[in-house]
Amino acid sequence: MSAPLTTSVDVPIAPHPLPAKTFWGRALRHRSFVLGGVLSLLVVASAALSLVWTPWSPYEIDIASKLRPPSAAHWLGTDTFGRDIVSLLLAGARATILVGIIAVSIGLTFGVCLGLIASAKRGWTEEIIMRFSDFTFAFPAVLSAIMLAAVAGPGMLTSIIAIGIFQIPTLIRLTRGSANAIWAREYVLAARASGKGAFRITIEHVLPNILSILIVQATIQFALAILAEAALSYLGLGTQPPQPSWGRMLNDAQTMLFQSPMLAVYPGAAIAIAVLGLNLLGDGLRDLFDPRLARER
Amino acid sequence: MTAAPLLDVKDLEQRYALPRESLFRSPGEVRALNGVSVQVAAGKSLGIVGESGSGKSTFARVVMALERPTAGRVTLLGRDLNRISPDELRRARRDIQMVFQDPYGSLDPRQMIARIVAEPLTVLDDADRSTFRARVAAVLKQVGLREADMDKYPHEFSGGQRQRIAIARALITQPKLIVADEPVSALDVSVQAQVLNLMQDLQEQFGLSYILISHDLAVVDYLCDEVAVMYLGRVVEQGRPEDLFERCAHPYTRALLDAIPRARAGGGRRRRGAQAIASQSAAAAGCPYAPRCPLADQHCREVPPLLRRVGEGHLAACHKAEAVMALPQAAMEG
Amino acid sequence: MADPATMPLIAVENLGVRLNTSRGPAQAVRGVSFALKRGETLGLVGESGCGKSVTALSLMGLLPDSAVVTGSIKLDGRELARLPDADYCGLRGNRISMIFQEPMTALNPMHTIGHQVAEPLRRHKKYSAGQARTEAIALLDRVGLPDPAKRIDAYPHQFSGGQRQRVTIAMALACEPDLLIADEPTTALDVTIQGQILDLIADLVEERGMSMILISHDLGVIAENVQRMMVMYGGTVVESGPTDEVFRRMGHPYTQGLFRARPKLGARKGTRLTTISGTVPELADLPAGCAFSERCPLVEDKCRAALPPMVEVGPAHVVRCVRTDVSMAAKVGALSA
Repeated sequence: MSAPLTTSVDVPIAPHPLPAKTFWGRALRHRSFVLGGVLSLLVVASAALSLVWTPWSPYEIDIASKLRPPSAAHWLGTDTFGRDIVSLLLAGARATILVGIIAVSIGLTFGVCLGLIASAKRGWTEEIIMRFSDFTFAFPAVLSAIMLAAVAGPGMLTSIIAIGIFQIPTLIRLTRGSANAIWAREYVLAARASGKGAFRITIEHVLPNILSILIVQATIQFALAILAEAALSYLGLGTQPPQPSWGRMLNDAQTMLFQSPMLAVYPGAAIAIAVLGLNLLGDGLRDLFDPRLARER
Repeated sequence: MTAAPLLDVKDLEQRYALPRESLFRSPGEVRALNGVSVQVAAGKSLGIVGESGSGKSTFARVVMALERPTAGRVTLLGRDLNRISPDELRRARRDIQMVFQDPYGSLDPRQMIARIVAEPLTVLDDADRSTFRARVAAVLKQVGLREADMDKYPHEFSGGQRQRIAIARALITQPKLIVADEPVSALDVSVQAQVLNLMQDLQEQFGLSYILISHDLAVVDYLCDEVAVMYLGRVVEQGRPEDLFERCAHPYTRALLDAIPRARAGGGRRRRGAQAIASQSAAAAGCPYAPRCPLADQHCREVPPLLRRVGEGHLAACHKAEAVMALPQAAMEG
Repeated sequence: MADPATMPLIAVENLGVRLNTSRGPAQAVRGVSFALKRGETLGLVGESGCGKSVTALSLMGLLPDSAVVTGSIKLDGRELARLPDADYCGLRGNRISMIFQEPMTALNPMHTIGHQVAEPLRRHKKYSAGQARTEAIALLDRVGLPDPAKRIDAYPHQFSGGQRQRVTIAMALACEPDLLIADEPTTALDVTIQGQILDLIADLVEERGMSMILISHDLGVIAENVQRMMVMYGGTVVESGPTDEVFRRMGHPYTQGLFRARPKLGARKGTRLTTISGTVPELADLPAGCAFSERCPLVEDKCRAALPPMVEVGPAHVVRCVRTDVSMAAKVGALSA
């Protein structure tokens, strides 16, 4: 019989992204979005600040004043080479963000394109793309970084490319999965019935409807990229000295772990704040893009 | 039928391969359409009735050239839709548009009404934005919406209004034929009537033809000049609605008619006989309806009945059509 | 306590439900009252958002936590409204059961149907695994599932829609509930299957002496399957009475409109359907006074002023309308043929 397409509670529920005018209003009341936003902004602001000002130069080595405790001159003290910790943290944020942004962009560009193609073409094309994705997925970022470093030498560029490649398969899978759901919608059938080809449908219907999912995932991928960058720098495969980075700071702190454990705690805390902030931001965005979830909070 | 029909569907077959169950066995297949032939004359409407699995939605998709049939022809105004070039097909789509069942799923939630309604046009012409908007405004008025509605998003409309928008999208190319797949079954009863009346008005105004696909016999009776009843990918009975519903010749049509609950006092419960479940993959030799048919005999189980003439413009695929027609008919609602 | 034979099984008094919708808080149900004795059947008809499903869910204690329930729901004299969820768990599936519209979503795809039918038995009746399994086979056999002993270990996706609905009926009946609520049980099914499922439910209700509340948007389904009916609109009951009585003489303009708007088989070509103007209102912005006033052809100023009282128009047949003098004169309805 005729089926009013209602849920079990037949209260009208708007199955739609809310209009923009209320988006910021709701966003500012969303706790994890606000907290995540503040933490992420803190990291970005640190990086921006370090471009124009740091309390001391992060490159200046002053063995005489090494391993100082926190003081008025050095708020968090100095490291084994006498460099100011605050300055290193600020400048390290720069490397973190740079690596994160470029690596996630690489991942998004290739992952989203391949995912959309797989979903639009199906058949053999899809099969080949997905097997390629599985193949890449099987290589940990560290392994591809080691291989790349063997060929091109360690450095920031090597780590960026390694992390970027590492991001691609996740994004292919996510894009293909969500795009497939859109391809099954009736409005796509309607577009096909009016004679639109796969490319136009992908650009006009599929991409706009999965954009919010991709934005949310991008923030989470960003957090993963930061962790990966720290890990690679810690292993000596990423950012090279004297370029400051949080991962390098951890590496340097390792030898002094028992004498001055705080040297490891500061960069560790910075990484944790950045990752936590981005994850909260991603959670918040997911809720805000999905009005049904948002109302339950 | 008259000389040149608007749409001529001939011996349409559509088979789907089932997922392979074993590496060493060839995959099974589902025969969704099993030799369907129908014609639609200009300005006339054809209703397709059947239950889930009857192939009626596959029929719609093949007629719309959204799927390529395994065998058979779909000819629209003399053009075989599966033989012409992609470019010609795109232009041929001007004459054939579609309305879908789900008014919530058939409109892209992220596009404004103007863009949704103009979609079939953007494929055809490269006219400028203002021409498009003028056309959209005109067609929105024809379906009973306001010009101002074109700058809104779908979620701002109720189900009935959304279905009007979907009809506007189908109308914008001034098609000759609209294929409507269950256009009102997702709507509330009070809104259903508004949309059905609108479809009738538009038909009178523009001389449109409809292919109306529905499980609801009353809806088809209301809008169509001819009805085809489908069962497991075949047309089992075809004719004018008054012939079909007052002198039905196929036991399946009769079962459908008997199953409709009647809204009237003293209805009480009418007992229905237990029926077996239809199966698409069972390749039985005889009549596909025989396992569920109360009249089936050995002959029915062995020899498949062909669609044959049982009255003026009335076809049925049943060996016992005359016996079915002689039965006292199901009571109509006044 | 009164004699259980005459005391109503379930008595709902002035039920109100306030829900949070996307459009803000809404009074989804207002002033709904009815009583049902053992073995009686009641139909709820209405369109989307009329409050029929919310009424059913409030009987089951399945409303979202944010819902505010007022009024009283008594099962055998015991107050259920605002009962803690923990206490409700002992009733659900045991004394009150529900069948839903979409059998696939009501079944867990990860468990065998045997497990799902046996679960309420083990939970409420403390049956052993073996006992529950035997009983589950018997139940599946009773609801007409072919070859239950073999198919008990199959998963929901291996069944057709009609068969799945039979399984959910078996689940609902497992503990022999006193009250069965069927919310659009056949809406997702084909017409010929719909008849079989409704017959099965009716047989089981008769056989076990259960009471049933059948919810449907289809006047035909209601006409053929229940003794009494209530028509709901905008969260209120607008008409209520014995089914035959209501179909013989419809009193409320909304009931009449709903009846007239249905396309009927065998109507002459070119006839137009009588429509109800406008659309179903959203619960969050219902008009003051009669909820139907905005769409009613007979509307007067006093309709908009306050919610009209129930007027008796026939034996046990009441209508919430101030203009029954005019509406009843139209003699809308269908005498038995």
